[in-house]
Amino acid sequence: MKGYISVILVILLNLIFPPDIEAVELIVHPDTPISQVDRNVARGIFSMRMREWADGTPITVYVLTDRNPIHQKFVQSILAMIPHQLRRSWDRYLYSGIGSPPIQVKNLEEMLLKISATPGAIGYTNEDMNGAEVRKIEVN
Amino acid sequence: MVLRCVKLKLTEWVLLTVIGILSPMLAGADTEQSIRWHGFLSQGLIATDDNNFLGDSESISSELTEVGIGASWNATSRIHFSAQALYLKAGDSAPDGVELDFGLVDINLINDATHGLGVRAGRLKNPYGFYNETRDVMATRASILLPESIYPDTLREIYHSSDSIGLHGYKEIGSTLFQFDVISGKPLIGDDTLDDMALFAPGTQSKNNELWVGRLMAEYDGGRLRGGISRVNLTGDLKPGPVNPLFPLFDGELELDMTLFSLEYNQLRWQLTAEYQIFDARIKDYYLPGFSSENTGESWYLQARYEFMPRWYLLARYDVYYGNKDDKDGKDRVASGNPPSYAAFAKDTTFSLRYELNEHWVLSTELHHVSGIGWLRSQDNADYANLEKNWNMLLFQVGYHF
Repeated sequence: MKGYISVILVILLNLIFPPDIEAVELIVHPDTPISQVDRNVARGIFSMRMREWADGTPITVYVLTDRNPIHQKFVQSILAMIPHQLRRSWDRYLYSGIGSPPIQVKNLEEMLLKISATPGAIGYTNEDMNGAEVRKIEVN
Repeated sequence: MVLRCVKLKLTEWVLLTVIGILSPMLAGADTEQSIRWHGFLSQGLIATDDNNFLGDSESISSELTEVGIGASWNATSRIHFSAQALYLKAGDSAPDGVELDFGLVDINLINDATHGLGVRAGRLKNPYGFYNETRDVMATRASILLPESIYPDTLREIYHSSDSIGLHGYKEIGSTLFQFDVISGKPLIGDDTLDDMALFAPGTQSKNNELWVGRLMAEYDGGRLRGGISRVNLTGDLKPGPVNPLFPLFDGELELDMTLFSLEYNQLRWQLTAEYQIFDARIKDYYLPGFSSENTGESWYLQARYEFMPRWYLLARYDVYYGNKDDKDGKDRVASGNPPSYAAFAKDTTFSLRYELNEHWVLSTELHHVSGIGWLRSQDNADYANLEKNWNMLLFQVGYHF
């Protein structure tokens, strides 16, 4: 009985005070020819305006779903944008036919898998990832 | 007539079924170069205490259906193809059946972090104001009905798209992103379109139409503050319908100019939006050879939206329409034998509640209190001269998109 109560308490507490998301960071496919980006470039990439890297490789953008706390944190802290404004410009691309929104993945696992397998890919994570599969890049 | 109804229902069902079966299979795309599918559907209900809007709403109208399915393909990172089929029922305003909403190729010539330039051609969505390009997708609207004074549902067809070529680009200066779109081509004007415009006698056609639409938008700090100006110019040759010996009409010319100013302030949970439009119609030789007439209308709205709980939104809006800015109270209208006075305006106070169940489903209900009948149409209201001045409207809509 006590066990149940504490489980319920933990769930309730989590609902009321959601656990803080660790710092979110930009990650790219390891062959991507950059080590850092300016914030306005990151905005350009995730707003789907910028479609290729300096060497001509197409940029493939992966994101989590809009309401995912990691996505929310990424948009607000790394891009310094409002999530519904990003969604607005993606919807305009999609439903007026003038471009494509990012590709949505279900979870971080899929994000890492896709980015490590796609040259030119970019996304984000809150896990400590920096190695052969994906590379972390700094945002200025 | 019965057959026509059945046929419409059938098209609707076929589209619904296709979307239902395909959406789980098609929604996922693996890479930038895959063909990607998208779609949306919504159904609305409209009830009014007096006056009809979009069908027989005094006894509850369901003539508000939006269904679309489309595909897009990035042939390279510079060349993009896309198309969308649309079935629309919005009272009598849209043509029956499924139409090509857009079908285009977009080529990016310059594509840098701070500036870009591209061309597109085909059937393009008209870039007008904040809402026009995606107006049929419920998820992209803040409310069930867009402000009727600027995005009239009764004239949806002509606003939608045009067979055009266009130039578009962006330039970032400091924290401000400037984006422009210019298109030029043929508007989609059907046989009934002018009948809906209330300026012309029934059966009037407009031929050799040419359309220009341009828009310049500025976004400060990733969209916290957005402002823009849109401009439309439409010209055509007017051909009157069947000859009426008591009220003869002549071949003439039509020129429409519309200018729209847009401003929006965004925060994480709330949003303030305002747009102001001035509409100018010049008609030459149509009423009498050598005679010109000009009519200038004006409209604006103020809108506030607040996400009071995650996924729950409240919206309040005040929307004003004047068919002729020199006759806002309709006195001249009555004096020239064209009552009622309150057909000269419409002042719509709207409250809307919206719930986004998840990233695909949206539910919404809204209440309108309207003074005036400026954007009501005689097609929905046989007894137009005897409509009520003050009327109320309750709407409900459910939408799905992927």
